[in-house]
Formats: sequence, C-alpha cells, structure tokens
Amino acid sequence: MKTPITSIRAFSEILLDENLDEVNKRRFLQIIIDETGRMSRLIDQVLDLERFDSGKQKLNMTKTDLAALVKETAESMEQVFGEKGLQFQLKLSFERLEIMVDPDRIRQVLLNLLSNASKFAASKVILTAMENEGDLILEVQDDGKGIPEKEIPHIFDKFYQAKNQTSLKPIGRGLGLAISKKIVDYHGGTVNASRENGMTIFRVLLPKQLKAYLNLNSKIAHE
Amino acid sequence: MNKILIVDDEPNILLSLEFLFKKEGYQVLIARDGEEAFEIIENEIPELIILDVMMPKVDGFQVCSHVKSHYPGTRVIFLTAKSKMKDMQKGLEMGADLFLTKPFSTKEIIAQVKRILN
Repeated sequence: MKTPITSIRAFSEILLDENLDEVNKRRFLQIIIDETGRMSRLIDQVLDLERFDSGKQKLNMTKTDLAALVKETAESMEQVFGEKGLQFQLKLSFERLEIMVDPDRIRQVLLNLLSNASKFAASKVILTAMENEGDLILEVQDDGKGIPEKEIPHIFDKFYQAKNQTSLKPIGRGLGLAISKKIVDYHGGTVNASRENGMTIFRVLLPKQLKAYLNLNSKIAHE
Repeated sequence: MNKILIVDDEPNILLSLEFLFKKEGYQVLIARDGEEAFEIIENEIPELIILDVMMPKVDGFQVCSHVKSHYPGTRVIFLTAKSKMKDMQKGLEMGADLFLTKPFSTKEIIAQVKRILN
C-alpha cells in the first residue's frame, strides 16, 4: 500500500515545487491518477477481505452454467498468456453444468488463479474443468518453479508474505489468494495447492446447489 | 559530477528520483533489482546508492553488504517501506549511511544526499 502512496507524494511535491513544462506536468499528473487507481484497488481488496472475515459479505447466488463461465474467463486471459509467450490450454470435460454460485465471485477466483499462474509459469498453463457427481472441480496448473513445500500451508493466509523472513520481494501482495479462499469457503467448497509431476496445481471444488446453500446458511447463522 | 545509483523495482519511484536528482545536477544511474545493481556498481562505482530493501532476485541488504565490503567509499541510503526498528538496525549495522522510509519527502531526500556527499 505504501508503494502507490510514495509515488503519489513524490510526484505531487515535484508538481508543487518545480517549474515543469506542459508535457511533464501532464505525464506526472497521469502517474498520480494511475497510482491512485492502484491504491484504490488495494483498499477494495482489503475491505473485501474484511467483509468476508466478519461474515458481512453477501453472495448473489444464481443458477449458472459453469461451462460458459469457464470458457469466457479463459478467453479473457488468452491475451495475457499470449503476451507472456505462455502456452495456454483449456480442458473442459462437460458441455453444460448448472450449479448455484455467485458468478462474479467465481470468475474472480478463476481470474486470480490464472493470473497467478501467468506470473509464475515457465512455459505453460493448463486450466481443467471437470464434473464429479455434479460437483465442479477446477484445476489451474503451471510449470513454474512452484511454491516451496513449507509455504503451502500459508499461501491462503492474507499477507502471508509478511510472515516471510526474507527481504526478497514476492510477486503480488498476498491478498488475491486469501480472498479466493474466502469466496470458495462461502460457497461451501474447498481450495488447495499441491505440486505434482513438476506442475503447481491449484484445485477448487465447488459443490452442488444444495450443499452450497446449507453451508452458506450455516456459516451466516454462526457468524 | 557525482554519480548516484538508484535501485528500486517500482518504475514510478525510479522515475521521480531520477527526475529530482538530474535536476539537481547529478549523474543518475538506474537499476530495477539487486542483480542489475551489481552490474552497474561494478562498471560505474557510484559515489552514492539509494537502495530499496524489498526487491526480486537480490534484496537491498545483500547489495549493501556487497558494496560496503568491495567499495567502502560508496555511501548507501536505504529508502524503503520497511519501517520496523529491527530493519533499520540491520541496515545501519551493515554500514548504510542513512535509513529513510517511504513515502519520502522529496526535499528531505535531496537535502540528505547533499549532506552525505559533501
């Protein structure tokens, strides 16, 4: 959060103190605007997580065709993979699967996992969507170096990097996965990470309608 | 003309510091991570380095310790979002001349660089 504030302050002071030509003035103002947006997105994530933590977050559960949702989300990431020179494969093993989910939130989870994979993959990312007795299993695999085994239990914690004793900067801010886990929890599902055959795998299981509702209602009732 | 190396992985922070110090008449060199910094230090031997701590590949503490053992004449200012006492202590124990925290004041950082180089 301090990074955007640092740029905003530095460029504001430069604009205030220096006699800038019109080009630099506009360029620096644009940086301030962009960094404000970046900060705003970070704050949104923090607030989002807080709402989940306090049980105040509501899901808009809608009967959704997951095949269409997965396809659309995958397509929206194709450009990112292309730009990074990564091979991207979608393996969809059903034509239609309707379950009760909050479609925007599930899209958010999938985008988060795909975007992480795009940052860490060496050459390829595979997205698999499978059906198991009506439940949905989503797997995002990448062939990057993987997460050190001892860190796997912590990667869904918010700001888990902060616990890291190293000063080496991790990519991202440690909020995306924490939010994804909350979303999946709220759906009564599970998400986990593992390392198999040289691939890092994030696996999301979303249950059928009834189970989801039961979990969601009991969660709200308890919180 | 004094040579200053700025090491940070945030393009906008680099840009603001580069602009400020060029305007002050310094020769400004830029590195985006510790690895790049090592190369530039080797070839250019700057008089002063403004150094972030949290960076990919090689962090600022590693850069500082390398500089202080190979180029003791080069001054080091840490400029970082880390503001815990133990980080500051670690930086200063490594021989850094100053530990500044982000967000920084542009006037202060210019004044401190001038003071350290004089």
